[in-house]
Amino acid sequence: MTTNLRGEAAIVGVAETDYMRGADRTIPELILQASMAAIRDAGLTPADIDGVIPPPGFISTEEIAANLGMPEVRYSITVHMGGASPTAALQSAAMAISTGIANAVLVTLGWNGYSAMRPRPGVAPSRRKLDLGPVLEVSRNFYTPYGVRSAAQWYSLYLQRYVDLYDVQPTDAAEIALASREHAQLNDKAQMRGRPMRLQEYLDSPPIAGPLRKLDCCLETDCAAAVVLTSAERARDLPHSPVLYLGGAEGHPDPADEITNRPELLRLGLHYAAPRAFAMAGVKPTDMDFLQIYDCFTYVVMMELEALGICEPGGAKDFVKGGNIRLGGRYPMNTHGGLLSQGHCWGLNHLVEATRQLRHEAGAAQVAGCELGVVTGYGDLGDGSIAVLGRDR
Amino acid sequence: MTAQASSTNPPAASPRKYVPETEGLNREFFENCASGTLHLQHCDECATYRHPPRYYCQHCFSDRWSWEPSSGQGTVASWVTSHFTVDRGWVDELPYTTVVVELDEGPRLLGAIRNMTVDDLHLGKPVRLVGEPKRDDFVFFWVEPLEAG
Repeated sequence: MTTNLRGEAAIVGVAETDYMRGADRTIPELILQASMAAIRDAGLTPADIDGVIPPPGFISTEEIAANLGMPEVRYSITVHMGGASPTAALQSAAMAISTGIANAVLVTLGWNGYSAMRPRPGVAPSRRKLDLGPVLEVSRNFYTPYGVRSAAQWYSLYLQRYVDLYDVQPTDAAEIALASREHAQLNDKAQMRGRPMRLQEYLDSPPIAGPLRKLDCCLETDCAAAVVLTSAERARDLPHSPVLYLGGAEGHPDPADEITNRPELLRLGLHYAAPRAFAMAGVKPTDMDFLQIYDCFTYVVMMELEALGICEPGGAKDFVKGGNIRLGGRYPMNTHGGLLSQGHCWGLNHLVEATRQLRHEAGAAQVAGCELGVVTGYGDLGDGSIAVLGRDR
Repeated sequence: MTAQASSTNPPAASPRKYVPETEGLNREFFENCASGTLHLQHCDECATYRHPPRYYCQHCFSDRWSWEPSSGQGTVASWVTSHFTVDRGWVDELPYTTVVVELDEGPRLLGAIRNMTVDDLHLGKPVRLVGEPKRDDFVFFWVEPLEAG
C-alpha cells in the first residue's frame, strides 16, 4: 500500500439533538439543526463545507446544501450499511479530504425511530423513509413471509448459535445493559437518565426473539446528529482539540444480503474490518482507552468485542464482567449510555461521544486522560464498520 | 392460513400474512416450485446447488444454471422462536418458531414449523421442507419431521 489515511483527517465539529420519544419537528429539521450546530462547533460556516454524506434515506445532499447554504458541493456519497453507515462514512470522508477532493465533509443522520411506528395523535406519519435497498430483496422473499421481519429476529438466526456455542447466559449479556444504563445516569441527554436498572428488572423483562429479552434491545428514538471532518493540518487552527482519524474500515459478511447460507455464520462484517483498521492506525485493540460499541442488542456487542480482537472468541462474557466495561474500569464502554440507554442515532451518537472524550469534554463521564478510542458500527444483516480515533499530540 | 396480500395494501399495514410480489430470478425460483415440488438452482458447470437464487455461481462464476427437483429432505441447522412481532399477519400465532433447514444438497432455507413443536427440535434433526403454493409465483414452505409422529 502506497498511501495510508492514518492521521490525514480529523473530526472538528460534533452536535446532536435531544433524544426524543415523539419529536415536534420533522426529520429534515432535526438533521439540519444538528448539521448547523456541528458546523458551528467546528468554527466553520456552511459555505466552508464542500462534502456531504447524508443517511441512506430521509433527506438528500441537495436538500441539506440548499437549506444550510453550501454554494459548492464537490463530493457527495451515501453509505448503505444500516447502522454501520455513519462510522463507515468516516472512511469516505477521510479519503475525500486526503486526496483534496473535498476540504470539509459533513456526515449527518437523523430519523424518526420512535414516531415511525408510533406517530403522534393527529399527525400523519412522515413520508420520509429509510432506504432498505441492500437487504430488501432476499428478506422480503425468504424471511418476511414467515413473520421474520425485525432486526431482533434476523440477528437471532446467529445469536442463538452464538449463545449455544459459548454457553452465554442472560446474566452475561445483562452486564452490558446494566453498564449502559449506569452511564446514562451521567448524561443529560440520555432517554434513560433517572431510570436506573437492576439485574432483576433485566431478567424479568419479556422475551422478544431467540435469546433476546426486551432489555437486550436498543431504544426507539427521534433524533439527529452530525460530525464535521477536515484535514488534520487545518484542524489545528480550529477551536477544538482535533480528534484524528487514525484508522478505519468497513466489512461485509459473506454473503451480506442473506444470513442462513453463510459458510461462517458467526463471522460478521466487523471481523473483516477490524484488523484492517488497527493495522492502518498502527495500534492494538488493547491500546484503547475506551470503547464505543454499536449496541443495537447486547449479544451483538459481545460478538463485536470478539471481532475487534480485544478478547478471544467466546471470551466476551468474561471480558464484560467485574466492572471492566464500566467507567473506572480498564475499558469503559458506551460512556454516553449507547443505543441501549442514551438513544438510537445509528451510532453517530457513539462518534459524538468518542469525540467529546478525546477532547476531554465528556463531563461526568470523562475517561481521565484518554488518548485513544474505538467506535464500531453494525447494521443491515451484519455489516460492520470501525473508526480508531486519537487525541492530537 | 396465509392469505394473498393485495398489491394496493402495504405489507406492514396488512392484517394478513405477507405474500411478496416476486420478480426476476426469485420469481423464477418460485415458479419452478409452484407444482409443490421444491426445485433448487444448480450450476451447469460445477454441479453445485445454491440458494437464494444468484445470477452467477459463487464457486466457478458460471452464468449457466438449471432448476433441479429436490426431495426437500435435510436437517435442522438453526431456528428462532419469536415472542414479539410487528407483523399483524403473525401476531395471533405468537410464540412461533421458524426453522432453518440444511437440505441434503447443501443450501439452507427458512420454513414455518408444522407437525412438531420447538421442544422436538435439535441441531441435525432430520426434517423435510414441504411447499404450499400460494400463487403461481410464490410458494410458502413448511418444515415437518421426517419420521411421522
